[in-house]
Amino acid sequence: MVDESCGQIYTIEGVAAAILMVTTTYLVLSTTIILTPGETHITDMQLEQLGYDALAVLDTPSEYGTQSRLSDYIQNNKKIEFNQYLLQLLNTRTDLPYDTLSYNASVFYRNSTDSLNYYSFSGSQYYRQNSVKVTRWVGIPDAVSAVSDMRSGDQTVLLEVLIWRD
Amino acid sequence: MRMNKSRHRLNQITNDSGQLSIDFIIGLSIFMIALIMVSTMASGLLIGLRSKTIDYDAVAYRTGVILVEDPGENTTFPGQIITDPSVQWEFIGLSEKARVLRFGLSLYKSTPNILSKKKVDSYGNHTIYNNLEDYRSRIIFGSYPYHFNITLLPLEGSLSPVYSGEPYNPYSSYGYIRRIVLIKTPGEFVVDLNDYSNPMYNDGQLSVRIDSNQLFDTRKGPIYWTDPMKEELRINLTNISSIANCTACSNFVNLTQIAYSYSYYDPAVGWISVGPIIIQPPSLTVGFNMTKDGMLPSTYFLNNINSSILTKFTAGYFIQKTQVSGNQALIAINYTFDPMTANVSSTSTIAPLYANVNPVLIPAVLEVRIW
Repeated sequence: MVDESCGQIYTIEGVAAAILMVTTTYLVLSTTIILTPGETHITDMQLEQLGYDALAVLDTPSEYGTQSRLSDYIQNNKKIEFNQYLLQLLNTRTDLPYDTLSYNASVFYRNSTDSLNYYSFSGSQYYRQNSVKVTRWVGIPDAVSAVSDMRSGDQTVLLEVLIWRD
Repeated sequence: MRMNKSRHRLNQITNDSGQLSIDFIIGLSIFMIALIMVSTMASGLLIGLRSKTIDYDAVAYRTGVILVEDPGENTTFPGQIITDPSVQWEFIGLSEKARVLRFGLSLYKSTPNILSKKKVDSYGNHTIYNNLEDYRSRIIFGSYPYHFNITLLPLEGSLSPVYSGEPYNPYSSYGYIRRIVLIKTPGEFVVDLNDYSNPMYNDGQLSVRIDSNQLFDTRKGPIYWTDPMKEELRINLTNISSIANCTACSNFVNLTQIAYSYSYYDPAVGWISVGPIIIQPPSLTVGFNMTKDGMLPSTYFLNNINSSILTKFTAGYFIQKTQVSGNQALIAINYTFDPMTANVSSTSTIAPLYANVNPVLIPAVLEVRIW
């Protein structure tokens, strides 16, 4: 008597599981955007390209034989001008509204004891947002007033900029 | 009774038959079929999602790279004397536009992100490139008819934005890339005439030599040199009153003629000089323009000048003007002043010319949208 009564339990369980799985998958796929690694990579690539372009434009002297803006900004610690110009380059679109990119820039250099050091140059506070990093080697002449312990003489420092979208 | 019950239980526990019940098999089969179906469906949908947007973004990226980092096709080596406009795509006009193979706005291969103003102007010339297919076949490629919108917006100066493609819906999704570029605008060659005043032998001739060796200063590199074949050439004669011969007429100077001449080296013969060839009045000459004391003259003959003469030759003006191939032709611009009014002389006033006012680089934003 007990044997026969447990007849279709497995079948019912199978059908129920099938309906549950199909419904869940359908709902998940139709209601959410699934970001695959490939797509996040595209967004990163767009930001990275923009960042490298902006630094290249900043580091191209407008006249032959003169110092580039970027070199001047770092050498003379012109944080306000750097901030203004970089944000203009990063956020200007061909139509309104402006983009909402933020950045945080640091400069890596060798100090007077020839060891590596860095200081925060300009930009917004970085709270571990999803960001991309672009870098550029910048040649700066002597007479550095930006940091007291930077070694003297012509040198190349590494500018590292984190860019993210707010 | 009690014994029967316990025997029955014993039978149940020791039922070690290897066969599964039909019920279990059916249940498992339904579950497996559903599982396979769901996994197929899910992965198929993901592939669909990925390929679409990545495709649009990739095409946008590629189009951006072609425009910003490529000099286009047809193109010639830097410094080459061009005798046929069809070897350089930006000089090809409406009638022969089929010969333009690919747009690319960069000056040369070695100067990514530095755009040529002439190329930007030609690219945005909708009289020549008057339908979408002209652009699609030269920057987007492929058989799939992508929709596109490409806009170049200068951030400084007086250059106007360049639009191409179709209007886009900002709220729909599209493949996108934004590039930051510099547009090279022409420099100016300023000659202070105070250095060339010659009251002893005044025959009114002043020759400004455009020396390609000086213009193509390889130390400066392509961003800062001037290519007289591909870029606009501006010559500004300043301090005109310093050569004036006529104090009675308030130091005014009269210009009677402007011409150009050139010389080139033929290995068989040696140096050959051609010219001077008179430049016809501005109204009859495409690409030539003179300004007197900051104003456009009403007639070709520039009378009563006392401050400056700015002569502009648009990019490509000297193409077909010098019938030599190779890369060595010295072009000179010959100004003829009325000797009664000006103290200049052909014997001493040949001014070797170099870029003393540098070209200006104007930052701009280029956006490509593909859908």
